Amino acid sequence: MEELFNKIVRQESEKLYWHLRRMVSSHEDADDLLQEVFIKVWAALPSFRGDSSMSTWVWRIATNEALNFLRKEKVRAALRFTSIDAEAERKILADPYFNGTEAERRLSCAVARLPEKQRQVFVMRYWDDLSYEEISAITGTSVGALKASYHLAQEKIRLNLSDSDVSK
Amino acid sequence: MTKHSDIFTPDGYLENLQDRLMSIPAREKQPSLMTRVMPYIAYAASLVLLVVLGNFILGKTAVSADDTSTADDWTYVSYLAQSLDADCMLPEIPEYTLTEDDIVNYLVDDGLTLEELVSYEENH
Repeated sequence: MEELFNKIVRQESEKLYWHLRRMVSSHEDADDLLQEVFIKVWAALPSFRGDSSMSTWVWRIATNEALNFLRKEKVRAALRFTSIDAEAERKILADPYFNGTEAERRLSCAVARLPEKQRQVFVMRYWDDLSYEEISAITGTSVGALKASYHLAQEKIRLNLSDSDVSK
Repeated sequence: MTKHSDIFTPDGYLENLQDRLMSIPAREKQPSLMTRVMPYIAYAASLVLLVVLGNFILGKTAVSADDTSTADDWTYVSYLAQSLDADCMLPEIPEYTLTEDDIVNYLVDDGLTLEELVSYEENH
């Protein structure tokens, strides 16, 4: 069992780190989440039935963890009377592990403003380079719906970036 | 070129990542069935205890409150009966008629001026 777990770690850990990092916009949060994901993977490994590939199963756990985290963040932001968008933007602007261009920072901010599901699809397709079929297997959403979601996300990002151009 | 070139990690993070994650099984040793069930048993037991205690305390409070209200009612009723029924129970107040001197003394003590006192004397 431990050998199988180690194999999953070797195959998926780095890819999952980048996925979570894009989803939660902070290294510290991504690292904490990654630990949580692999603790869950280890705990659930004996009950893995093999209905899907091991990789798909692990990614499903990770994406669920990320979505749960974002929902909790939304509640925390509401309790502090701030918006989740503002909070995500603050994290991106204050990220000490960011060395991209201003355009890349604005893109990250625009992605952080997307609704959770669209953000998930966009991150998986644009940054994680997963195919629609792979995303479909992980999220349980049809390929058609994913394409529509990705297209909508792109439109929102474009609008957001042009809005920030105007306001500059 | 990687798509994540705009973000990076602290030094050595990715190099140590696998080792850290591979240490999870050792840290998360599967607890025995008893250890896993124990919190639920404790929770159920405390819930039962809470219900029993709550019942006991509420029952006791309800009874004593009832007793108190009955006792209060009876005290009040008997007091009323005594007051209405037996004048002899009330303390006797000696009859006393105020004299004019009493009134004058009271007014003087109260800071009445001589002129006001004379005017009072003349009018009465």
